Amino acid sequence: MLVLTRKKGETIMIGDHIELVVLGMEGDSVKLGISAPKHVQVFRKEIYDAIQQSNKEASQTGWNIDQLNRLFGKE
Amino acid sequence: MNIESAQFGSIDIDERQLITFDNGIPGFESYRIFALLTPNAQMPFSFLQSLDDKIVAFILTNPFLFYPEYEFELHEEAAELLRIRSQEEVTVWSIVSVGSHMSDSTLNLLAPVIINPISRKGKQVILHGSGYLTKHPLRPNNMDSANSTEVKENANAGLDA
Repeated sequence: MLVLTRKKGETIMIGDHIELVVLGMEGDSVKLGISAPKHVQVFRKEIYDAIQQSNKEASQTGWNIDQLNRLFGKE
Repeated sequence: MNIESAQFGSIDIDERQLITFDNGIPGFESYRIFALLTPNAQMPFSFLQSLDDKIVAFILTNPFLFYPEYEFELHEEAAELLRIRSQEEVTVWSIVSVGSHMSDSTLNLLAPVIINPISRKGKQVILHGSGYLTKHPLRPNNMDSANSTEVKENANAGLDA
C-alpha cells in the first residue's frame, strides 16, 4: 500500500481524473472531498461489505421456496 | 440447455433465461452468468441461479409488491451498462434473505438487482445515500396469509447507508 502524508487542503490524484482532497481533521475523523468522473462509483467500504455479506447469506441454499410461496403467495 | 442447480437438480432452461452480470455481483464478483427462473408465475418469488456454481442461487422478488412506495433513481452509468433505453427495458428485483423462520425473511432494498430483459444484462446497483437497508422485513401487508406483528420487531435490523 502506498502511504502519503498530506496536510489539510492538500490533494492527491488517482490517475488523471480522480482527486482526493483532505478537507479537515476532527479527532479521529478525516474529512475527505472526492472528485471523480460519473462512471466511477464512490462509496463507503462498509456499504459494499454489507452488501457482500448480505448476498453471501442470501445465496445459502438452505431455503425452501415452497414454504416462502405458501407464506407470501397470492393464489 | 441443461444447467445444474443444488436446489432443483438438473434443469432444462431456455437460453433466453440467461442473464449476464458483467461485473458479477458483490461477494460473487467472478460469477457472470445466471439463469432467471420463475417456476410458478402465480407466485411472487423467482430465482437467480449461477451457472458458475450450482450451490449459488438467490431468491428474487418484486420489491414493489412489499414496498409500494419504494423508489430510487437509476444511475446513468448503470442504465448505459444495461443498455436501457425505455421503461420496458427495466425490471427491478430485490434479493431475499431467508431467516431461520420463513417469516423472518428480509429484502435487500439498498442494492436492487436491475435486469434488462431485452439485452439480458443485469447489475446489482448500490443506492448509497438512499437510507435503504440490506434487510427490510418481507412484510406481508399486501399479502393475504402472514401475520404482521412479528415483522415489526425486525424493522431496525440491518445496516444503514
